[in-house]
Amino acid sequence: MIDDDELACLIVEKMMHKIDPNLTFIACENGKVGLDTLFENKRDNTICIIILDLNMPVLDGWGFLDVLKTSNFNDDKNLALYILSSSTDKRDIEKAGQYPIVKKFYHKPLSIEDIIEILNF
Amino acid sequence: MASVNNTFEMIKYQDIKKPLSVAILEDNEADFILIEDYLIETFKTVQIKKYSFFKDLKAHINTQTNTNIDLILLDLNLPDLSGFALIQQILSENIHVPIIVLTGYADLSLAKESLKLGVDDFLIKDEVTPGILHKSIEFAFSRSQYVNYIEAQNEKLRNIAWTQSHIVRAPLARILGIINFIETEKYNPKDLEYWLKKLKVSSDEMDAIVRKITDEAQEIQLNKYNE
Repeated sequence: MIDDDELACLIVEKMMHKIDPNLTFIACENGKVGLDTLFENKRDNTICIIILDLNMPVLDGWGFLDVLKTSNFNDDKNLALYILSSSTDKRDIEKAGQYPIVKKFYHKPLSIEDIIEILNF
Repeated sequence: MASVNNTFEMIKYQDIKKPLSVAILEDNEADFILIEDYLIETFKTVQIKKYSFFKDLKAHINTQTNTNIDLILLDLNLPDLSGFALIQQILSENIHVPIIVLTGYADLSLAKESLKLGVDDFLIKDEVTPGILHKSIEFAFSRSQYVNYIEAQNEKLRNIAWTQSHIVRAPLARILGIINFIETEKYNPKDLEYWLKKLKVSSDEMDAIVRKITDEAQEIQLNKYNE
């Protein structure tokens, strides 16, 4: 989960562990840390779900998506990316639609149903 | 928002201290002299700059940080550019000053069309008198001032909308998230105390943001043309 809001990460982590106690949850405080973590940890056969916030310092969600677009993760079948933003701005939602890698745009906060949906991708 | 209801105060150009600086784009010497005379007659202090070619005005705009042009009087037939293309080019320079087209009967339909593009007024050369020119200039100033004001206000409203979406929703989403989480948890008094504390922090943050937005919204009021 790439989000500078620690509390948001903590809540998602706790809710995810409730559904699946065995998953590995990594919280990254910005897009840069997110990229580093992804490149370090993602192996071809590991299933990876990215929950991406938009507004972040250092490298924001759009910057993260731009880097990802040019990487070989772009068409990795074992990778699912979701945007999770507090923004309800239409322009953000439209912009997100221009990145094929984005599976869905969620508004904060995630409900337990959303989390189940995400984990069953 | 009460401030939006304020009436707009018309300010005549003559109320403004600095002299009026007019760029006349006109290649016909006789027409230029006539307009120059009218301007001198009706405005006490006026600076006039003549440009026979569009490219000369463009060069002036592109090289000066302060163009020192308050108004453009535009003939639609210049040697290097004319008609529709000329209007488009001059508007694309984004100089944010009133533009009044001066034209003959032949270009009347184009002149009318130019109003839709963003030109402030047009005058038929054969019908221009000092009084008509003066009135047209004053009117163009009021209008462009009003448009500038509306644009500035729109910008502020857009910022407020952005803030609502991004900044206000952040702590609110956190509050909702905490509540979601508490609901799914089994009751544990020690945990609950922690989450209540977090709820308080986010609520206070949101309160501060809402107050700030209210202040900003109240700032939206008429900025008088007081340069």
